[in-house]
Amino acid sequence: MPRLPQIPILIAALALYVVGLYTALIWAPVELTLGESYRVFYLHVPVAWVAYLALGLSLIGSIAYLRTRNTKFDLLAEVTAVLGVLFASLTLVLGSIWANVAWGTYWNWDPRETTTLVLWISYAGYLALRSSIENVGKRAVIPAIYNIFAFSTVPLSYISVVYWQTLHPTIISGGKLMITPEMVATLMINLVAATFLFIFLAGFLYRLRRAERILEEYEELTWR
Amino acid sequence: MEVKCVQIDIFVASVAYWVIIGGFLLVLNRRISKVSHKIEDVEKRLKKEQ
Repeated sequence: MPRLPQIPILIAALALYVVGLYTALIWAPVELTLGESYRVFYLHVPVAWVAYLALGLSLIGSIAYLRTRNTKFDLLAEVTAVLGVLFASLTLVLGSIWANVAWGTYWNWDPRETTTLVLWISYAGYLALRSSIENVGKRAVIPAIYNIFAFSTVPLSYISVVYWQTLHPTIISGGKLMITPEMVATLMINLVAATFLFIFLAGFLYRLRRAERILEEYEELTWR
Repeated sequence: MEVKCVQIDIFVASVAYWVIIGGFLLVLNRRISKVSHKIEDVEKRLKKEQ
């Protein structure tokens, strides 16, 4: 992973979050069908996007590791999977809060909710699998193979609103955007803010895990 | 009245968001201090060996 300017990225993310919050709560117009409650959408959609992005990067890391056996790719797969689970958790929590306002219940086994929960469980399983294997070589290979299968839950979650009857709102219908230009701009600001926060966390966690691994290897060497 | 209730939900959502991110950063912070302690120990050990 290239060395990123961490502090400027964090400052940009926080500044964009402030602008994003202002545009989401005050500047963006009210949605006609969902009313004021739709504003949670400006927090919910960006975290869902980041979860998909993180898990996509994790898949790329796993495939690259299996091809090259370079531990940097294994580290990338691990770090982005951790963040994928974090942002998928946020997606579920924020989605439940929005569901309670819009549908009157926090959880109703809607196809999007269910498939996102399946995604979350699959990747929690990936992290559990990683921590349960002690052998360093196997710890990278077996979860990488598992990751390729686990990733199928990402497109499943994304297309669930197309193939099953659902109450979950969509912003694109029949190839047309169903929101106003102000709403698109607000969504974009919040999307970029969440992406910057993800880049900051990924860079930070990557360096931390690399240091931990070097220490683990050193301790193993000195133990012998 | 309905708008007020919805605004409370948006506030709850924002708080939940930052509580989860903040919790994650706290976990990272604890792990960083653990790693830095270990690095200090290794440095001391290496100095003794020299």
